[in-house]
Amino acid sequence: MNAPVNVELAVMELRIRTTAALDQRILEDAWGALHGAVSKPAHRTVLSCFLGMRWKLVAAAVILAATFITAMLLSRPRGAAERHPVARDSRTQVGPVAPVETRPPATLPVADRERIERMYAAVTSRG
Amino acid sequence: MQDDRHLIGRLKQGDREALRQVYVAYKDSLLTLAFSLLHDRNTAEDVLHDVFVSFAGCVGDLALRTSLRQYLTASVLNRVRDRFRRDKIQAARADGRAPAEPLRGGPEQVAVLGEETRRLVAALAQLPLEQREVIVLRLNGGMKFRQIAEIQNASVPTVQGRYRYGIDRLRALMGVRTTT
Repeated sequence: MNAPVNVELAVMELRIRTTAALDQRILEDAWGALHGAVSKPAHRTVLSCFLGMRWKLVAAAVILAATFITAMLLSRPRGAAERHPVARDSRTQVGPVAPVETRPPATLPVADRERIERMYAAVTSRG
Repeated sequence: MQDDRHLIGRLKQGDREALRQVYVAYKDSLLTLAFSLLHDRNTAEDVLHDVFVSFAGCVGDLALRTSLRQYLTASVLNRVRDRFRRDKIQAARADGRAPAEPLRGGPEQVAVLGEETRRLVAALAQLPLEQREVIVLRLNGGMKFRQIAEIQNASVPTVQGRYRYGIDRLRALMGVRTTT
């Protein structure tokens, strides 16, 4: 009959140690790999360097989007006045007809009316 | 983290002493982890070998986002999972079904371990791999649930659940009565 054990403690205290032969084998192979990795010239392209840095990529995307939006806003016509096309021929009517400026009703000034009334009265009294 | 970055910097310059320091610092804990999961010393040693050789080989391009310990632990776990996947495929090809038991050590390996350790490792081998990983990383590796969740690509409650079920099962397998 096996004695009961504290499972958590048993797992905590579990230790498997490496042997000297294993240490030597792994370190020799790892040193070889390290030497190969370090002596290898860096062939990183500009693009791969750039893609490796994620935050720079995000910043570049934001700048690109801002530039695009600014360009769109600047290329838009500013007002309706700038949109009127220029007619090449005086006979061709291009674009909407501007409303004709309405003149105020032709009323005679008071002095003129009085003068005309006096003249009319003089003619009628004479004749 | 700062020490890790300093070590990586030295490794990038080809410092052999830095590589030896990293190896000495993590070799036993990583071998214990691999052995606890694989239940086979030879395969665990192969995993440790692969992890350190590939780590040394790619140190030039290494950009450490976590601690070195977490990075090496994740490397061991990935290799263990690869082994299980490979064995599963081979077994499925051989007789049309996946193996029910994980890898087993020979009698000469088992004799090296004490009675209690043998029972523990045998019981661990009967748990699902995810539960085994959480229990060993939590108790033996001293990692937090959050860190294990990152490695397992799972949520913290999921990892906590795996731990709870795994410990209950382990107690049952080892004949320990729960005190709660």
